[in-house]
Amino acid sequence: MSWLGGWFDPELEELFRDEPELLQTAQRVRASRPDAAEADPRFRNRLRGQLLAEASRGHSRRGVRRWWRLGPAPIAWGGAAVGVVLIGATVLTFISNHPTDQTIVAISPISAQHAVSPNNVITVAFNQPMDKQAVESAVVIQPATKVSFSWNGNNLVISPVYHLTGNTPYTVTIGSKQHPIRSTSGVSATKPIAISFGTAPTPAAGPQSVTPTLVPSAAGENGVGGSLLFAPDGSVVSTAGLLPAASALATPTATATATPHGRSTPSPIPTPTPEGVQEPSVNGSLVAFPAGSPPVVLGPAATAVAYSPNGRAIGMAVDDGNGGSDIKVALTDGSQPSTLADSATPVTDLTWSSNDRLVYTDGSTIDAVDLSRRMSSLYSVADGGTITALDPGGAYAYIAPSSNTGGDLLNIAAGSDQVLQGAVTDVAFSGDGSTVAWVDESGSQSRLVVEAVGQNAPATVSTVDPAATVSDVTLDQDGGEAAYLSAGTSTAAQLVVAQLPSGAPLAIGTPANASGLALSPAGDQVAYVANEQTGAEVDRATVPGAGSARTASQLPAAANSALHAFVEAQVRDDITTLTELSGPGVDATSNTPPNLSRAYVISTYLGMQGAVSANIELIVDPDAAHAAARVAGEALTLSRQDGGAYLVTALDAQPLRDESSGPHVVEVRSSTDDGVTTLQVSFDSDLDPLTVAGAITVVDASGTTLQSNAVYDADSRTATVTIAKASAGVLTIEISTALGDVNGQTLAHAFTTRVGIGAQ
Amino acid sequence: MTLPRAYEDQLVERAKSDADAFGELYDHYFGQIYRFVFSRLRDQDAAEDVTSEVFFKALRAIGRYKPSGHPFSAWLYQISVNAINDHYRSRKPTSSLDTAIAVADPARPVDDRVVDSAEAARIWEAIDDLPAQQRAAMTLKLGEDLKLAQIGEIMGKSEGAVKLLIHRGMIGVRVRLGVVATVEEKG
Repeated sequence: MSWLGGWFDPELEELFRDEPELLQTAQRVRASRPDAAEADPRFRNRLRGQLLAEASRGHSRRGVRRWWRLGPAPIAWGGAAVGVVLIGATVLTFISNHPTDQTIVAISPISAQHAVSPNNVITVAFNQPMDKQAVESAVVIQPATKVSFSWNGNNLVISPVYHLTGNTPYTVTIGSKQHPIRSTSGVSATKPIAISFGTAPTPAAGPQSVTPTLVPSAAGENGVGGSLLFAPDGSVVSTAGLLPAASALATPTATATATPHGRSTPSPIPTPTPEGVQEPSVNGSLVAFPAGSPPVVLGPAATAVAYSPNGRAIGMAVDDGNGGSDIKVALTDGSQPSTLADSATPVTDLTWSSNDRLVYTDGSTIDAVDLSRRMSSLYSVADGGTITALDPGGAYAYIAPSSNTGGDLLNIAAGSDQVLQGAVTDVAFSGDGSTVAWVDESGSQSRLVVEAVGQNAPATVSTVDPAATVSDVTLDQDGGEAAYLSAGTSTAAQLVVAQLPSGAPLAIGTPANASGLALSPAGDQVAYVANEQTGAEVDRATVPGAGSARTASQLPAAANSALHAFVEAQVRDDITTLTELSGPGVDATSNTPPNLSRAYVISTYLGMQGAVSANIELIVDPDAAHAAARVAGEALTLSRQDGGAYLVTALDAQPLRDESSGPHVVEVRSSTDDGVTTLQVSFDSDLDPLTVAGAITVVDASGTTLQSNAVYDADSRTATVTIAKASAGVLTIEISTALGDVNGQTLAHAFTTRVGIGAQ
Repeated sequence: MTLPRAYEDQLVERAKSDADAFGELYDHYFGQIYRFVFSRLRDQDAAEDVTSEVFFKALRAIGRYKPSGHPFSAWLYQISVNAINDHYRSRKPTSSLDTAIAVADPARPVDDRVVDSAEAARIWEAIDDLPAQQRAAMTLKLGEDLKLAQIGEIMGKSEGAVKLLIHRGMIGVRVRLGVVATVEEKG
């Protein structure tokens, strides 16, 4: 028996039994065969449309045909693009009772697709003029969706009043016995048109606009390549900020402040004024830009800076004048600077492993020094690669490979490493060192990836524009939020602040040529360098809704990340990841229904001993063989392991069943602010607002029904339930079958789930 | 994945008069046929043209199709092999194998990728250079992992004839790869 790459063909073994050199050649040929290429789905769908159109004409009544060819640019089906010519798509039906061959043919470009943008319209092209009123009155969309209709010739454009729900299977049916459709010439359909598709798992939360609140002086400049970070007091710190000479000369002291641009009392301004940015007259310094007060020079420009965990000291690496770096510490106001060590090579990153010990790297080695100046060597790169980032806390480091893929996340103490997936760039750690994020550029489109440090379970984060290039990733303290730049090919780069790991955007802005992003520990502020023609300003912007969004999950970041990685692995049938994230006795592979298309994490709560419970809905989109979406409820429990990682320790998945008609809950989130608890319940359908408030009940852990107020927002399909004085713990939210959608369908079964709320 | 034979036979029968049924056959076999065609042509435009040709020919001929005991895919492969040969007759492929390798599935086991792209290109260029019948038999066996009997059905030849084509094709590849002496001594 011969093997090459696990391949064995008994017929060839037999054929070449006496000619081993030919068998060897066969093995070489087999091993070198090109990998399978996937067809362009547009080609697949349009060829299908053409074939079925021809089939509907009676199988080959036409002679020679011109084959369809994709153009260089994708066809847009945007709401305004109703004039697009429907040159081919999936033929949905070919139904007629007309004695002559005037069969009704309907084509939709989104039929059978699984990642339709929620902003899409639904276009249906008919092959002949239709009775528009009859067609419009026959359109039924599940989940219920309020729509408007327009026509462009024989093309019907169905535009959702709000938008489609993301990550949702849809069926559109046109025609029924009660509402038959017919053409203007009298041809009528004998069976309904059925269009099935699924929407892309884009973030459910709608983006909000950032209104940047600039640092009052707007005078920071990173002209010498500095970076930004947030100080414990909320100041934005530039490692190489620039100030006018007069003020810079007075520093560094604890009391010295700069008076930028000659203003004695800087006041907030909504936009940078070109006149306010002067050419730098001195070299950059380590400058703090407090909100609402003048900037403070903390020391000389630094190549790396970090605040101690207790927030009392600042560690920095500064040029020693001999091509290396001095490792210095000072109080957070910059006073009492002291040199702890001198590195012969420039230090590129630095962090605190405790309140009295600094860890730093020059790209090739990792060393440590404590406040008593005792030094230790922790690691040296032996086989190529560059250390480009240290985990806050100094437990891990990222070693970029000398080429393309294979970058390692190094456990410094253990000396063990783990390869980060893909062609890795822009590695960022959360402030508590628990979460690592990076951009994978190995595919045709870059993707943002996040995982709990030390837990080999990456999860892809939805980004606002999947086709755009992601860069400049930065995380907040606990890994609950990320900020990144999203640069499309033809649009201005967007600065996005998003929740992790879902990617739901909290804020989006378009500052000019932004770089050097930094998120505040709480994730409620983002700082960046806006590179204007007149100079580079350090700007700060608030993140609308960050506070409430952050309390939404209330889960440890590692649990949240593991949960989403697990569910994502279930959908893509990734046995390796499922096994890695499963605790003993959990057979995720056997218990996960096959052929999943998507999944919702409906609700989560943090239980006793830190265990996390999650309710999931697993979904199989409809297809030609099964016209209805199928769903399976699943309950997961994740438990914290030694070392902080989370594993799924219990899994209870129900069998797949046809999805019921009527509305469905897709997510329940909770937050507490100033004693008021807010539950947000999102649905896949447009609801009848009058049915919402009366259908929702909230019960506390003792079984007491709490007084609550529910308001329905049609745009987000979300009911917001506020409760004045809920105790911390677990709440049960109950939704009765009185809840109805705009089509008059009600919730098929009463819905109950539990959510955790914090004691704020 | 193969459809259950009884279901497939029924589906094919329905497809002779029901476009929905033909659509279901298309949905099931499109990927398989496209990948086969692309693996032979290694050019997206050409693969799309030929795949279109295959399915339109299948649509136009399905009324005459009679189950032969082999899967319906064997018939589609047969049409594909002919369409590919027609394409080769009309023009040689212009893209390099590097293009095909560049879109390789990263999930494919590393062991399957031990042969570097240069050698892979050389080997498959050698196959491209074989006579059409040998090329078809080699591709169906080593590119698609089909059984000799299936290949025979597709090519309209006996199993023994297919063996002979593969044997000769293998020798031809070795000749083209520069291991002539060893091979020809055996042959």
